[in-house]
Amino acid sequence: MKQNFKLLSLVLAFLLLLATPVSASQGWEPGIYVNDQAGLLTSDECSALNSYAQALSEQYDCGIYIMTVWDFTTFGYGSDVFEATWKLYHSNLLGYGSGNDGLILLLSMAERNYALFVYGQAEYAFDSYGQILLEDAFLDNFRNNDWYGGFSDYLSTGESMLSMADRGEPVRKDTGPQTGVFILIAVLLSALITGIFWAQMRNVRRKSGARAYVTGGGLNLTHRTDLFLRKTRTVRHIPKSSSSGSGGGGGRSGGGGSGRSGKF
Amino acid sequence: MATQTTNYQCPACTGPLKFSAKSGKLECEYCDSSFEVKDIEQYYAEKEARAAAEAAEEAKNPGADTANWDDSDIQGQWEEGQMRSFSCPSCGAELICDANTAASACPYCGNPTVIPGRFSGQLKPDYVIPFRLEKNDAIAALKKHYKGKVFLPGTFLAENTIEKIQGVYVPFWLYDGEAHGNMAFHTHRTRLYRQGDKEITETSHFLVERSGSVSFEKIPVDASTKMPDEYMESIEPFDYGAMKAFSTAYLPGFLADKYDLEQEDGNRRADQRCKETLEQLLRETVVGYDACVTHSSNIRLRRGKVHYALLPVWMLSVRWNNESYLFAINGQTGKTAGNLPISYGKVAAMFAGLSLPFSLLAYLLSQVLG
Repeated sequence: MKQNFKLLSLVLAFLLLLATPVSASQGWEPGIYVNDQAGLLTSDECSALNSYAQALSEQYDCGIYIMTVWDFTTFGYGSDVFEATWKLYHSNLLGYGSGNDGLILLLSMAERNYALFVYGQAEYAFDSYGQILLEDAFLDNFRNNDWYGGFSDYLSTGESMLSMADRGEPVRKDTGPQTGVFILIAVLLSALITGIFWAQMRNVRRKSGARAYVTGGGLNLTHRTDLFLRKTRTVRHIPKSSSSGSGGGGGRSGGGGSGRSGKF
Repeated sequence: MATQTTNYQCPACTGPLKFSAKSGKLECEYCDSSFEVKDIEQYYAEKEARAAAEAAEEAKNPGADTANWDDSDIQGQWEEGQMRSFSCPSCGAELICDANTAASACPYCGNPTVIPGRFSGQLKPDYVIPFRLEKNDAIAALKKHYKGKVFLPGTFLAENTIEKIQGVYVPFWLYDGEAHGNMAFHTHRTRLYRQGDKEITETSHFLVERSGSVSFEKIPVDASTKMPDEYMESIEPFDYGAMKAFSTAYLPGFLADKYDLEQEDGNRRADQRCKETLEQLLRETVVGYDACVTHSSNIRLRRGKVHYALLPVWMLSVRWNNESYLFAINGQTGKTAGNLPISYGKVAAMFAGLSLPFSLLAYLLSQVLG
């Protein structure tokens, strides 16, 4: 009986261990900025990227992280890759400073999902437009299975954007052309309204036709023919998107921050 | 034994049609149209039948288009001394009125000096539509025309001598007639659909033909060269139900303009309006297509009677800022026509007043959506 009880306790403890989504299984140690659990990088690549990320994080006081996993759903953080990413970020207390400022890029290989989560002051450097630019830098690499290239682009683009933000000139969308179009529409609308009032000042014009003087019940139609001549056919191929079937990312928010997620 | 062959022309482009053994149809190598043999035979049979009918019609009524208008109903001339005549030395207008009425100013140019003269030898009108609006009604109609016009200069209203409005019987030729003819149109219908990764546009082309006729009664053309035609057409229509046989009893208190445009010269405008109306009505029967372009139009006119009538118009000529402005009010319905002066300062103020807030709103919206 005692033996059975011991065995049962061991089994229960083992099951409990499996069920608990803890950072122990995510392997996030202090000083680790690149957590390659999916084994996409060689040790040299991983080391080089880690050093780069650490240098950037310390220079700009903003954590910049990379994580690869086989299947994010095994963490128990839900079935949405973006939600899993920000929960992972917070549960591992990532980020720099009291505000836990930083950003993390996660790749999940099972379904080729990715998520980019930006938190705290990092959102000053990477607003929604900046996140799209950052995404554009690495996404094409990952679609071609160029992991090291994609992560390098992520870090180097992130560095330039952090540098600009540090100078007080964060990357922002150029709204000049859009503003110009909006103002042009406003001016045209003003001209249209003015034109309507102008037209009211002129009401003298020649009459077209003489319908008011038609008698005998109107038009007497004596013949009508609608003769079919031919049919022409034009075919246009609809170009596929350059992602070869994979969809692009979409803007997301949650976990107190913002970001993007999608498939590569 | 030689047999007769028939070569058909393509209805769309008049190119020669050739029988294709592959398709079993008559095909045009110029425009790629194709037809069943029986359809083409029927088409040309109907066309020949119509042509024969029109030829028979022409034989009955030779040169119908060029026939003169029937003016047999127009009355004779005025009696001697029945009317007084005035002429304007400024614009050349010649006005008549009854013996008890005097012209104080020219209704066309506002010149206050009109010269009395002898009047004789003019055609007497067949009909008249008496004035229904009094002078006060005409003034009210004109004030309503000014109202709400934001670009009207303030000084125009202040200096306006609206009380000088005058009632004038304007001479008109009234034309009866009939227009008949045929038109052909090129039309098409488009269908757009997707098949896999292809977008397919199918366009069906048609040749549409319509024939018909329409009758007209009393199309008015003003018979005074002094009266701008567009003003008279702008205050149409007149209610002919109120038209009376002419009597000088309707004239006292009003001026009448003498006609100086002969009816042969006025019929060009009547012809044009008849043609335009038939073309519009035939075009409106072409429905169910995405586009329609006129390919050919053959309209013929059968001219009927012409009548001479005086129609009532209240008129005011205003001189402001070295420009003349004429206002005409239908003396029966009150419809008013007249181009108003425009204050460019007010136009600029409105444009600026709208542009600035709209542009600011546009800027803020672009920043929010940015």
